[in-house]
Amino acid sequence: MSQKLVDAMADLDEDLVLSEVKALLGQNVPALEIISYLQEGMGIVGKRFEEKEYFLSELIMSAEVFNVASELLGGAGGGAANSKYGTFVMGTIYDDIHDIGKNIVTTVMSSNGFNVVDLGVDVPTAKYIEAIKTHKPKAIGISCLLTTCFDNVKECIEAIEKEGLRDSVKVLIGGGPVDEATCKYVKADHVCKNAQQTVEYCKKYMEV
Amino acid sequence: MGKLSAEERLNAAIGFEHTDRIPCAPLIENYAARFAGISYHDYYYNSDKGFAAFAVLKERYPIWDIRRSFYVGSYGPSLNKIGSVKSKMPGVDLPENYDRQVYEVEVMSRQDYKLIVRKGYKAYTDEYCRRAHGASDEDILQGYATKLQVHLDEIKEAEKEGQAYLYGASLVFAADRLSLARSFTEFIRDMYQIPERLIEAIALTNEAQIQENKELVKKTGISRVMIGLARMGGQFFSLPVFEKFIWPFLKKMIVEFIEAGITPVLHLDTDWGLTLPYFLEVPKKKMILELDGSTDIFLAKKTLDGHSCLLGDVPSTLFTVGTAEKVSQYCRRLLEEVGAGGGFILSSGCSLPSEAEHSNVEAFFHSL
Repeated sequence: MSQKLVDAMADLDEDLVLSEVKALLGQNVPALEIISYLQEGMGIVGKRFEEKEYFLSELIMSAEVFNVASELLGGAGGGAANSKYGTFVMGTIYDDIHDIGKNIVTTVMSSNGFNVVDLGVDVPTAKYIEAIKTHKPKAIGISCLLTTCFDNVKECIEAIEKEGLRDSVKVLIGGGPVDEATCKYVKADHVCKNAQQTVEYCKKYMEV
Repeated sequence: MGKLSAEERLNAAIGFEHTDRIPCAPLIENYAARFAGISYHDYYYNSDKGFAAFAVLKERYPIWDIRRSFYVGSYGPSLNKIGSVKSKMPGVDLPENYDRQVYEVEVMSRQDYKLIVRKGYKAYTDEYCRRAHGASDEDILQGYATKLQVHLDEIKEAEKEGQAYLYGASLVFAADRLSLARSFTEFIRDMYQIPERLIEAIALTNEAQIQENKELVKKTGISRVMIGLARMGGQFFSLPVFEKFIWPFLKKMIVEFIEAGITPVLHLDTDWGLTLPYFLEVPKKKMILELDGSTDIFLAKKTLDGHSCLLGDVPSTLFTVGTAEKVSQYCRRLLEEVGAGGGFILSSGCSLPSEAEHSNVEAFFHSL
C-alpha cells in the first residue's frame, strides 16, 4: 500500500505522483497495483468534488495527472481487461461538433476505472447502435450542446429502442442546455450535469 | 411617471431608480433570422438582411426596447479573420441553414505567453489570427475595420427602431481569452504547472483590454462594455483558484471602467452562485450582471439587491421544450421577485434559441 501515492493523487501533486510511481516500479510493484492506488486517489478527488472542495478544474487536472502516470505504466490505466466497471460508450450527437464536455467526461471516466469507447463528435445514430452491439456497454453517454440538436438525441434514443437495445443500456445525456425537461423530452434515463455525476451514476449502476 | 425612452429606462434600471416598466433585452438575434425567414448564411454574411430580420421582429414585438446583440461578434466576413474562436459557418463549412458552431483547438502554445510579455497582447492576438484563421496582416486590419463598421451600422439601426443599444464594446475576459487560444484542458494544466507565468500573461492581457475598450466606446458612443465570462465561474473553479487567476483582474477591470464612466456588463455563463458576494466589493448601482439560467437568479437578487442590476434569465430549454404557460409563470416570478425595487432587466438566459416555439417567445414578450 502506498498512502503517499494515494495522497499525492488526491492532492493533484503531479511531481510527487510521478516520482512515487517511478519509485514503486523500481521496487517491482505490479503496474495494476500502482493503478489501484491512483484510482483510490481519484476516488478521494471525486469525494472532494461532491463536497465542493474541488471543482471542474481540479477534476480535469486529476484526470490529466492520472493519464501521465498511466503512461509511465505502459497505459495500464485503460482498456477493457483492466476495467473494474465495464464499458461506457460516449459521443456528441450528430450535427453538433462540441467536444470539450465529451472529452472531460471520457477522460474522467477512464481514470475512474471504466473502459471508455469514445465515438467522437457529430456521431450518427447508426454509429451509436453499432457501438452498443459491438461493445455491449451497460451505459452510453450522449453529449449535446445545441438546443437545435435535442430532436437528434430523441431520434437516436428512439432508434436504439427500435433496434431492441434500449432495455440493455442506460442512456445518459449531458451538455450546457440539457436539463430534466430535456431528459423527459428525449426519453433518456438520466441527466449528468458534470463528469463526476457521470462517474457516480455509472459506478452505482455498472459495478459488478 | 411618464413614458421613458429606452435609454432612460435602461439607465434607471442600472441605478435602481423608478422606471415606467421593466426593460426587455432578449438575446434574440438567431431567432430573429428564423422568424424573418432568412437563411443563417444570409443572416451571418449580409448585415442588411440581418438588420432587416431584427426590424421584422421589432415590428411584431414593439415592447423589445433594449438591443442586446452579439451580431457584430458573429458577423461572418470578420469572424473568420479576427474571431477569438474558430467557427464552422453556414453555407461555408455547414449547410446554408444550419446555425454557426464554435469549436476549440489548441492554437497557441505555452511558450506563446512570452509573446504577450515581450511584444504585447495585440501581437499575441494577431498571431492567433494568423494561425487559427490563416489571416494575413491585411486580413486582420480589414477584419477589425469591418467589425467596427457593422457595429456602428447596427447601433444606428437600433436607434432608428427606438431601441437602446446595450454593448458599446465587448471583450472576452483575459483568462477566458487565453483559455480559448490554448484549449481549456491545456489552460487548466498551465494554471497548475506554470501559475506565475500565466498570471503575468493574464495581467498584461487585462490591462491591454481595459485600454483598448476605453478607446472603442469613444468610437461607438455607447459607454457600456460587455465582459464575456463564459467559463470562469464557480462551477469551474474553487474559490482559491478564482481568487488567484480571475477575481483580482476582473475587479480591476470593473473598477477602472466605472471610474472612466463606463458601465460594465458582465456576461456570466454557468453557475456563479458561490462567487456572487465578490461583486459587493465594487461600486454599487454601476453594473449589469447577465445570468444565463445556471446561476440561481433569486439567490443573486438576495445577495446583490440594491447593488448590481440583474439581467436574465429565462432558460433556453423553457423556450424550446416548455409551454407558453410555463414561460409566462417563470417571467411573472422574475418580474415580481427579481424586479421588486428595481435593478432588473427581463431577458433570455444567454441566447434565445433559434428553434424556440413561437408561442413561447410570444408568452415571454407578453409577460411585460
